[in-house]
Amino acid sequence: MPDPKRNSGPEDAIEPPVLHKESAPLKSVDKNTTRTDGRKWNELRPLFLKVGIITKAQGSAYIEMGNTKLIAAVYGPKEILRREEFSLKGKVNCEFKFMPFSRAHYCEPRQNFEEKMISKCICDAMEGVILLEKFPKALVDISVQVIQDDGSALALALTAASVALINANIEVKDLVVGTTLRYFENSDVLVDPTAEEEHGPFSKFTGGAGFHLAVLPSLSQISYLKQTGKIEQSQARDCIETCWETCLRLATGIKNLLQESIDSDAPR
Amino acid sequence: STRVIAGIKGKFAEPTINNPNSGFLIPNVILPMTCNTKYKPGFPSDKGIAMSNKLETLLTDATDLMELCLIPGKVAWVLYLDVVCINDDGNVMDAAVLALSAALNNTWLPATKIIEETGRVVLDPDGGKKRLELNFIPISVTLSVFDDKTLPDPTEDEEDIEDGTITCCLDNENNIRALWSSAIITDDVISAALVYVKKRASVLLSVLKKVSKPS
Repeated sequence: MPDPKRNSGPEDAIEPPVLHKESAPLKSVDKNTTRTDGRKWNELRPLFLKVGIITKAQGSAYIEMGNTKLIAAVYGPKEILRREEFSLKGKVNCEFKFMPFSRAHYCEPRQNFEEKMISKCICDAMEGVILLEKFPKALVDISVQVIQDDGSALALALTAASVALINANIEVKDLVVGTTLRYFENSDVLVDPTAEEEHGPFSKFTGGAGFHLAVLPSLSQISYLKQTGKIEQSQARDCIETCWETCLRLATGIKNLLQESIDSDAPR
Repeated sequence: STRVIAGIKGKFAEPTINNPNSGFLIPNVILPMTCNTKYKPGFPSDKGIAMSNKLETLLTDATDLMELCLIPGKVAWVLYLDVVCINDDGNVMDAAVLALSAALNNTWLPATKIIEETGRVVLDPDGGKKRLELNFIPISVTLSVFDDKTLPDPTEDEEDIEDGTITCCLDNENNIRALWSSAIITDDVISAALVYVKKRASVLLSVLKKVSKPS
């Protein structure tokens, strides 16, 4: 449906088809071999984190994990519109968006179904972590934009949103750290998959399952869990444990980076 | 500290009946809620739409649209030129034009192949890439107007209290490609502004050339 407010171009534009050599999608990966980017099965991609880069926002975080780059901004707590009902607890609103050039295919400037769903996921996860009683009748706006998606965007979005909340000095129970895991039918797993390894329509692997887990490291609680695909119950438990360990590993790194940024900030 | 990112994505589409040999260039400026609390979530702001319109008029002759056509009347490239603002601290127009020019200057279109049996066009991953030829590189310089004085490159606080704006777009040969003025000013103010614009544009152009990759 053409959007009258945007320059939309021809309606019948299609993604250019690519000439492929015939190859069946892969079903499994050997745990002992290195992956396409040289990592082992349980190795995370290098992480880069910088806070406070959006001058107008109360809190912001820019996070990079390998080639997946995204930016989160937090505005608030601000006064809630009069139309909304009075509430003793604060409200959280989240907007998640892939930039049009972030994925292999073109993303429409309007939020599509998948992005709306991920927005709701981030909203739910953050509502559980923020101390909403501290700011009644107020609204916290979280906005996450993905600059480049090379796998694990949802988990990183949760991490970035929580770091941005901390940067905005909004009281939270704990940091939220997220990771993704890819499970294959032969029981092998890959931690922190890239876009072509991740469970989904653009992956070169088929079958198995994908796990997205977000953890509160100090409280040892799960903030968000999502599983797609097919997996047996016993295997599922092992996958969650692996995800949990990875989150804890990541949490120490993020806490150090946050500590550095707080120390280096000039006193206000 | 204004920051923008420009990205270019391509799709295939059927050319219009009026121009069966041309491709399309679709510029869009996106000002999401992330960059400033002025922009509400959910729908594009007027400022963004106005800027997209300005970019469209600016880029009408930027590249030879015939080059973007693959099969006349059937298939042509549609290039979506998206500029997303990450941090809005004033003067997004200059940043957007610079980012877009740099992105256009470094666009490589993948090679295409026509399958004889079906007549469809597909991308050939082994075919190498062709650089997008630009007729000119647009550079924009914006000045704020306060009474009869001008202030170049306004920040957001300055934009809030200004009387108007002069935006001038030059190309790499110092021709004026576009000139917008929204203030009540005299002739000499514009002439003085143009002198400054020429100097500033050459500085911006040298930065752009430094960033461009030759191959």
